[in-house]
Formats: sequence, C-alpha cells, structure tokens
Amino acid sequence: MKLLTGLSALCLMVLLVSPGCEGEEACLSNQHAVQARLYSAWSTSDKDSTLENVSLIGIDMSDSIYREQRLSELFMPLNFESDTSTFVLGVSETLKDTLSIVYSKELDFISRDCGYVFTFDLDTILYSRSIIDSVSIAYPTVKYGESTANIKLYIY
Amino acid sequence: MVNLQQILSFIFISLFLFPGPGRGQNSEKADKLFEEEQVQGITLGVNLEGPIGLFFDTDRSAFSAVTHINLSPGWYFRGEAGFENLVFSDENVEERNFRYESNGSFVKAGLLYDFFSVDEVGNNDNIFVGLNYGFAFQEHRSGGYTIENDYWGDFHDSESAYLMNTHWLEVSAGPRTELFKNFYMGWTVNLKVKILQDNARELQPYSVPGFGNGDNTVNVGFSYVLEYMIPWKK
Repeated sequence: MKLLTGLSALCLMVLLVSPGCEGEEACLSNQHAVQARLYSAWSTSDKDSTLENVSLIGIDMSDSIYREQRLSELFMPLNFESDTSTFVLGVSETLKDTLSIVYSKELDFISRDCGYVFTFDLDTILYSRSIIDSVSIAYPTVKYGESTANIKLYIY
Repeated sequence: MVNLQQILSFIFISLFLFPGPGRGQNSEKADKLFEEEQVQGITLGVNLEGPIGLFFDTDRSAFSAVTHINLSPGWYFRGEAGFENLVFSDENVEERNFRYESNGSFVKAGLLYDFFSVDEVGNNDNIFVGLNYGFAFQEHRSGGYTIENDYWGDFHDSESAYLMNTHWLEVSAGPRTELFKNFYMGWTVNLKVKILQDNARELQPYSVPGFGNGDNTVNVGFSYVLEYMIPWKK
C-alpha cells in the first residue's frame, strides 16, 4: 500500500515537473510597427480609402516595405536605434511624400518565453503634402499584442 | 499546466490508498490511543523536487532541506530552505532571444494539520493539510538580449545583475508514510500564490527559487520528501 502511494506520487511529480506540462507561449513578431489607415481627404467624415501602386521605403534604406501595392492600411516599422523613423510614401515616380514619426520608447519584458520588446509612444508626425492632406494620431501607443490603428492618413 | 481538476482527483484517490478512517470519525478512545502512541520529534530530510526536475530542465539546479516538528498531537511545524541556480543553455538562448542567469535561495515555514489517525499501534502515517509562507531572494541578470527588427535591424543590449525578492503563500496537502522505523516518505501538492515581489527593474525572473515560474502569480508545485526523524518523546 505504501509503495503504491510512493509510486503514484512519483507519477504525479513527473506530470507536474515535466516541461511538456507547461504550454510554451506563442510569441508575436513584428509588434513594433505603426498601423496607419488611409482615409479620403475629400470626405467630411472618416471614409476608408484605398490607394493604388503604393510604395513605402524607410529613408536611407535600400529595401522597400511595400512596392506598388494596392493598400488601405500601412504598417510602418519603427527604428529601435533612433527616436524618429522617416519613410517615403509614393504612388508614382513624381507623387511622393516624406513622413517622419517622432516617438519615445520604453523597454518591456513580455514573458520568459518571449523576452524583451519595446513599447512606443508616438509624439509627433511631420509630413510633406503631395498626396497627404493631413495626419492625425488616433492611438499613440504601439504595444506588443495590440492591433489598434495608430494614425489616420488623409489622402487627396 | 496540469489541469487542476486532475490534480484534485488524484489527491482524492490517493487519500484512499491509506487504510483507516479519518480523525473526525474516531471514537474518543481511539483519539486517546492515537495521542498516546504518536511519536514526537524533529525530522531532517530532503525534497527531491529539485534533483528530479533536473532530468527535465538541465538549465536548472535546485536542492532543499525539509524539517517537520511535531508541536502537539495533530499539529506540525514545517520548514524548508534551499537554493536554485539557473543558467540558460545555448539552445534556450537561441529560442528565447535572451540570456538569463539567476542564483537564489528560499525559506518556507508553516503549519500542517494531520487529519489521519488509525487504531493501529505503531502506525505513524499522516495526511497533511497546511499553510506555508515562502520568501525567496535572488540575484539575476540578462547577459544579453535581442529584440528583432526585420527592417531597420535588431537591437542588442544586456541587463546587469541585481537583487530582488518574492513573498508567497502556499497551501499544501498530501500524505506521509513511515517506510522504516523513523524513516518517512511524503509528498504534497502545493498551490502557491505570489503576494509581493520587490523587483526594481524591467527583467522578470524566469524562475523564483521555491516558487517556480516567475511569470505566474499562481503556481502549482510538488514536493517529494524523504526524511529521518529524531524522536524526543514517545
């Protein structure tokens, strides 16, 4: 009887201390991008807009984030080494705007499986006005696990 | 994590592996006999949770010593002290994007109630239910971490070593049996609830010595104790 108790205890112990018992957390990737929704500048209320042939590239970068795509929202990854990320948004060779996002960042520890991330707080957005009419910050926080649109881009 | 219902079912079934009725169902005569026959003393033992855990997680080494002191018939003091060292292996560093090291110790103290008795001379088995307080202090650091950024480039930094501490309450339940004269084997399932953590910086502990998963407020743990009793009164 006592041996049975000991064995049953060992079985339970194996169950509890086995790493297989603890489900590994799924870690999200690309959680450092500003989500921008496109709106028509001609509408009096916020009306979703879609742009054709959209290209987006970070300033001084050789790789494009988007290249001649049809989009109604953009994800613009922020630079960890700087407090400003600047992008060139274009719909043709001549119609282009520069968009600079100024932000502060804070280090966060997500979990033991996923480690560290940055949480960003958007401060100011500077832009030229070829295709962009105006920009507003709808939700200033770029945070791990959140998918709320951060800025509204009003397009001509 | 193992389903709590499964654990409770297991405890319930295991209790039936011990023969005899509970203390509450005994006659006064049986209670008196129990008190007269119960051996009082102090035990010294080891909790095998740490050494067995090493088979499943080679990054972690842990050990703790346990004592039970029979205060009065049915009531026991339980004390435990131990350490836990943890260093991420290269495989874990790659998987988790950060290096991590922790060295820490813990103490636990609490009261147990033995609600098992049997009309059998010399039977010193117990079924314990108890409440413990736990305190752990540890020095931990992240020797390097990476935050991935596919577009602008990854960010690399490190977190230097610093001290932190954790307090928790623990409800435990489980049987203990006398295998040989004065030599006991026992196990408990422990429900641990973190009540306070003093952590001045961003880094969260991967594991808190004696408490377990540093991410969780509530952990379920297990102890498997082998101990020897030094009797002082019979």
